[in-house]
Amino acid sequence: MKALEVENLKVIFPTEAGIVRAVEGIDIEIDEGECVAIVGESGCGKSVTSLAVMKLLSSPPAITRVDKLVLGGIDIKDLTDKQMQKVRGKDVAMIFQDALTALNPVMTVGRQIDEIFLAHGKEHFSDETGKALSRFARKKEAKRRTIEALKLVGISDAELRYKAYPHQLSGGMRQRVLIAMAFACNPHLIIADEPTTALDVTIQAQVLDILKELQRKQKTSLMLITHDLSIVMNMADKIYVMYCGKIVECARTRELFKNPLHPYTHGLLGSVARINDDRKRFVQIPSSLPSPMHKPSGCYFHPRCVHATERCKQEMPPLEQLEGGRCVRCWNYKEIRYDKQ
Amino acid sequence: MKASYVIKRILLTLFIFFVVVTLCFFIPRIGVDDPASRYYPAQTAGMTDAEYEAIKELVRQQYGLDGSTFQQYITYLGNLFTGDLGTSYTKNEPVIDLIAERLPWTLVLSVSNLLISLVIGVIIGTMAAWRRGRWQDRALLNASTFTTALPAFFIALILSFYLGFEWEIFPAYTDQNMVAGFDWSWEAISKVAYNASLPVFAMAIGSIVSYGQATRNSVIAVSEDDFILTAKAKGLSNNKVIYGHTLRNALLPIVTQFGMNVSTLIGGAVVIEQIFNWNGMGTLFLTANSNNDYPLMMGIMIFMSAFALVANLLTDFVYCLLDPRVTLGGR
Repeated sequence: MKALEVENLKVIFPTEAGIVRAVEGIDIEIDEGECVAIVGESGCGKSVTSLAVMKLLSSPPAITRVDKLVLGGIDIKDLTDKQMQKVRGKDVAMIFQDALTALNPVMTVGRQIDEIFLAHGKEHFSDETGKALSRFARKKEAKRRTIEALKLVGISDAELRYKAYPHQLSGGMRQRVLIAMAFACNPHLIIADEPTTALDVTIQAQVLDILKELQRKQKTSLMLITHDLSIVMNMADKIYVMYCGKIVECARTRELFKNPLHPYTHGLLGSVARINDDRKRFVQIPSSLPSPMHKPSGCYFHPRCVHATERCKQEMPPLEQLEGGRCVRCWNYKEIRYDKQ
Repeated sequence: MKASYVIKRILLTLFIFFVVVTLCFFIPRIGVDDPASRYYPAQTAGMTDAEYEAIKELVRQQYGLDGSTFQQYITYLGNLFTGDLGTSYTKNEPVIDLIAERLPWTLVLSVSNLLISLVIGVIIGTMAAWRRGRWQDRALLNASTFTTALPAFFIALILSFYLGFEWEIFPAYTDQNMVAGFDWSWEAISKVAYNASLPVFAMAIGSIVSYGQATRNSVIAVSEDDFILTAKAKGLSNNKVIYGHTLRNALLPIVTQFGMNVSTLIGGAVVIEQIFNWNGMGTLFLTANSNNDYPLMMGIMIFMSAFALVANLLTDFVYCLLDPRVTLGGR
């Protein structure tokens, strides 16, 4: 069983100035227990993709179309918002980027985690005889589980932290709270949207370790959304590279780092520092991401690509399936020879 | 909230109160050399100068106006500590009794106005935010343009003219028997409600819209916050998201507005009371003002400011309890 299957996901935002095509028909497959990274620059549609999978994009303004959306064996494509409420938090959970703004400032972190158990665990909250617990006992049980969840992410003095407000915790601690929240109901899939961007580097490593450890232990699938390839290298099993709302390359992590096929992927890798690096300077991808309202003709990457040919300016290349589950969207990937990095 | 901070705030409030009392004492005395001559004008017929002086002296003694202004000030402060606000010149009754007699009637108007506008305003504001850009939202926006331009007394005049005089649906003037014969019976209470309907309505229109608009803006701002998305991603029901997360945060600025309105509960309805001939603090103050009844004027002003100071103090403390991020007085 796959943890997530997405086929031909499209998201557009009609605005007065024109239509913004944020996501243009992408397919994603995540196996049970697998960590899949979606990599790309800011504005390439990564976050919109994750929200679309959760069905959390508010409509209006967003318009979403998808051919297939199956999550842990449940077809959620046609579920109403009310039905999705039972799925969110229980079968799929999300870790947001900035833990300070992602937590309610006037509620203790403990109660914010309690809410998940109370919203989803109702039928499991029963005593030995199978009788449903009273309201008061349910709250007590939720508190017990919350403290357990806080301990699981390595928060010391969990009983004390239970009563803390978000602003009383450090940044790393808050991110751990978000992770505890996501793992609370042991979902099939956790979507982590830039989970460490707001943290400094040492805390980043700690938080990633906890995330990785929990993911392995609980066999949860993880969809990691990031622009930081150095994180991806250690975490992900498979990588999707996104550019301008389209997937331009997908591969197993090792293969992608060893042998990038798309010039964009090659460019991204050129901007990552590595320990065995004797390059004098980083390679930069020239120019910046085109406006999502006025995307270039042909291949979206051609204005920034040093290998672009006349054909690249005219026609959008198809996503070519290669052996070993790889795929690439480039006319010339066979001809291009990259200098040894 | 630190205990030391609470004590500091209370001491500061007491100091401000002292300043207010001092100003209330001296400002009416600027420009008038002898309040007694104001009270007993020289034109009082058929009196010789000596008789007139004797009477003025009598009056001075009776109302504590003998001695220098500073001596009077000290006496006044001393009396204030025992709860004695002096005696009214015109009514010859202790000021504190006059205030106690009128205060409940003012509170009937202002408290019902405050509660009605808070409850209805918050409901309307939440609805408008929920249906942002739809007709409910636009109606609230238009209403707020309208009511900010129209002062409450103008609305009161229009209501009193049409609903009171032309169509005779509600009383345009307060029935004075309402106060005299009040005995907590059902009829007496409903009579008060009937008489209060127009003044309360006139005051409430503006403040309902203002609470509504403030709530609407605050709810919209909060519902775009990240933690609302988190709450939705947790799988909470819509009601939990609105009442548990959005409103709880959105109402924080409303508490401030409410606290500021509480401080105007006593003095805020002077003109409205006058229009509907409502026997409250406002009409009492206006009578005192036109009769140069200094003890009464001072008493009312001091009472109003004490009320406002206490209300502000409480608002600060309540706000601090509602928002854990506010650590008053630092750490």
